[in-house]
Amino acid sequence: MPNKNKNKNDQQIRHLLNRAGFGFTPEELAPYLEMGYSSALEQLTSPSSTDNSALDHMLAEQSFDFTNPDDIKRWWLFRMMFTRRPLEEKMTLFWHGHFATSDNKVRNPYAMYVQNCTIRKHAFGKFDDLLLAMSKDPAMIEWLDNQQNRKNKPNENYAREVMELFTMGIGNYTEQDVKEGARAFTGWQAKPDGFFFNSGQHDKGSKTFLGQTGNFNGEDIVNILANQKATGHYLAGKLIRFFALYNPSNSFVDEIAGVYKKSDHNIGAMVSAIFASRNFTSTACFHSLIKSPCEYVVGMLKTFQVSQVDAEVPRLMAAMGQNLFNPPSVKGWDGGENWIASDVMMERFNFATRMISQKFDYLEKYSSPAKIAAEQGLTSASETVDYFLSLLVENDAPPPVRERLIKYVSSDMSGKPMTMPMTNPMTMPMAKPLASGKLPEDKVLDARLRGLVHLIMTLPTYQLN
Amino acid sequence: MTNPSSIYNSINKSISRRDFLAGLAALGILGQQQLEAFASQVDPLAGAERSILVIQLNGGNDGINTIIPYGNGAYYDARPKIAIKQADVLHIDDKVGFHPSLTAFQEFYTQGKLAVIQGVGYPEPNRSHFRSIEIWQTAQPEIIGDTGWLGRYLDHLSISQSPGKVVKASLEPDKEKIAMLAVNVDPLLPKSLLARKVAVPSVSDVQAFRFKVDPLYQADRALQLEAFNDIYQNFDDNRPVVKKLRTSGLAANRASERLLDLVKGHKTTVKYPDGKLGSSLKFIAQMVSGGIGAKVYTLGYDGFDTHAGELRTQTNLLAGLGKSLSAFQEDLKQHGCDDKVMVLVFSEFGRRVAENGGGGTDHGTAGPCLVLGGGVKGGLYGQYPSLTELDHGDLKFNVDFRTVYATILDRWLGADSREVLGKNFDNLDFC
Repeated sequence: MPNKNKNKNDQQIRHLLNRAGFGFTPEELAPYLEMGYSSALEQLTSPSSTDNSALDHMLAEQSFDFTNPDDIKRWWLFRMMFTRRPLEEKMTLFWHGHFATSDNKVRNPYAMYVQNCTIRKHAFGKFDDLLLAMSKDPAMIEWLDNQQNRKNKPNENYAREVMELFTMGIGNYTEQDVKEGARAFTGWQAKPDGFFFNSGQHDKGSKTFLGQTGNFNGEDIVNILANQKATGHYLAGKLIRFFALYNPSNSFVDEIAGVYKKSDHNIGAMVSAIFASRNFTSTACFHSLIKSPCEYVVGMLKTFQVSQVDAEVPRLMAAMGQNLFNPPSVKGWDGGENWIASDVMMERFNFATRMISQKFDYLEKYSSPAKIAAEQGLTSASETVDYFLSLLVENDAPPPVRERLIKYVSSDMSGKPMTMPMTNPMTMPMAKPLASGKLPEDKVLDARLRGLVHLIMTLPTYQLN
Repeated sequence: MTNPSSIYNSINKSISRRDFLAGLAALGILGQQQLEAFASQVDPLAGAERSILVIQLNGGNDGINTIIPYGNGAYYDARPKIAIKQADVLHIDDKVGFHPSLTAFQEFYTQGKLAVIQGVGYPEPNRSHFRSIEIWQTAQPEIIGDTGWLGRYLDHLSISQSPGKVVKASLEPDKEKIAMLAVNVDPLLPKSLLARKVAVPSVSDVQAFRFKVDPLYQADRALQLEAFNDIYQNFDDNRPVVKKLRTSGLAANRASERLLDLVKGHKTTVKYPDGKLGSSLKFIAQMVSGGIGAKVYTLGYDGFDTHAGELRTQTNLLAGLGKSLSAFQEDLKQHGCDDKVMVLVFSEFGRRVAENGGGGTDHGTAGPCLVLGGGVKGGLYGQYPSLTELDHGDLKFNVDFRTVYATILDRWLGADSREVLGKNFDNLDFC
């Protein structure tokens, strides 16, 4: 019985690390298993208490060029891969999708990098601070044209999206609020060295915004928006759908919106409450979300303990539908079913192929399933299938699927069952007769194991988090 | 003043075909059999080889600078910086004309295969990109719909083709070639194609769209694919998300085999412009001429949210659209298919009449729809909205977008628009 409980607890911690981060290596997992769920949660949600200097050193060695659009993507992937504060990166990704800004228009990778750092700095703090920082962020100002928002000639782009997408959600404001809000943000501009308040272009007149009247400026609008009830609700729903469930109950959303209010708009408190909820630890939550390309790719690299992010990875992720620093629109990535349209699904399958192929020489550090099988001392087809099903999908596959995989792995290259007893060239001779299926020989074995791992990574449940 | 040509081409407000037929039946003029033949489709072959390509201009194209009311002084008053000079406009008549970069469209117009439908929109316009896109794609302005107008059309089509079998077929092995009812040529499936019974493949780059295995073990591909298909068909699990993954994974491999075959066989001398739009249109021409049999193709074209620096951005985008569609038409013609595809170009909304402070325009309401193809009766349709009688600074629409859809469904695809759109909409006369 205690064993069963331990299994369940361990699974919940893996579930937590998958959602609060991007999967884990065995080394990363071990201490969290040791400390238990609530301490793990506490550590994840207070990132500044975890030493991250190893990451800083590693990043320094890479000497990224932050004015290069590919480098900033690799820089961020490095962070996701090697950080000791996984939730910090996950929250940054959440906010990147929330305050979705695209370098496609901004055309200034360095400004995108600065925005990413600003987001990370405020990712767990008071929402008002983050919202204000984003309203003054040069990349955002360029992205939503606030540079052109001038007195007597307002540009409504930022004022609309700040209400529709960043705070309250659609239906909570009028077209008049958009126009008045735009006036308040007039003169909020960017210069090469940062935010610049152009007072000559600021409309100092009186505005009526969401029922309040005054000589509002951008700070006032941020303040009013952060204090709307709708904002707490909107953020709660969005955080829950990102971290926990696609279709949360109203009461769960209300509960997290309540945390927003009680904690004086503290984002970290909201996220902690989500992960601490029974809604999160329930069986229904496990494997209920479709992995984003970030989660799919970084998770896979971590599982196989790959030590590099090669230059092609960002482009392949873009083909899977997630081009970092280039979200498809100001609404960010819709996620969910949008991650699995047929051609992006094919890109996922082919990334898994790439991961386990030996053709790609420079990927030598990528995985050799035969080596893993040897290290694990796997001696039969069924043992091998069980090992990888457990490692990759937490055994979330019905029995006929397991049988079919065993059939695949015990067949020769023409698809016929193998008859000869065999030897894994990378391991010791086979010790005992095989009960269910036999592992085939040398090259064939290598091909089979690569194929097996590929097939498991194409399973519907491997796409789930 | 009313424009005579717009009267000639104005919305056919008399009575719908369905009402007309019902009337004839009630009078005993048509027998039951005739009535059924008529009711199903007036032309029994209508829609047989026809398809519709829907191109969405994402971001809200400025319709006023696309179909330009150059004969109206109010246009120049409202846009001191970004109005197009009269002399540069490509004239349609003495009131309106095309943006100077749309020479291809002017040519289509002269050839009589382009319909310009002016002032298209819907009641209580929504100025959010995302809600307005949703409204156009679902054709359900009053509710948050969960199916698209094209998806519902496909559902009806699939029922009439093989009653009761479709749901199952989508998870069954593909021994024969399964006709693809629709192909989305974008990374993301638009809501317009969400259907209850039909899963539509999305293919943005056909060359990359192939199930790959380790290049050193190519021989293993067939075995892996066989295992993959067995697994996906038999992955017994009740979770809706797993079901969706299975459907999508199977559809992907099925479509991939079929499409790669088809693309291999296609030859053309037409040179498409570089870039995503050109290559997507080329791929669609390959599918059409290869006889894939799809009824619907969808494609998005990004970048129209011109809050600032509109002149340059829109000029480039519209030029790209014109050149790419020109190549597309030529390619189809080479393959004898130019009268089989109708192209509908729309955007989620037009833009504010008055320019803003950044040489751009903010979100607006009504805009033009462009319909192109050998089967189109070219001309101007609908009335250009007034530039002075505005709704919050925005144009008042004259043509409900659903009448455009209804016309395409009823007259071009031989479907019943009432089934798809939930109620009766008048038809226009552009086809």
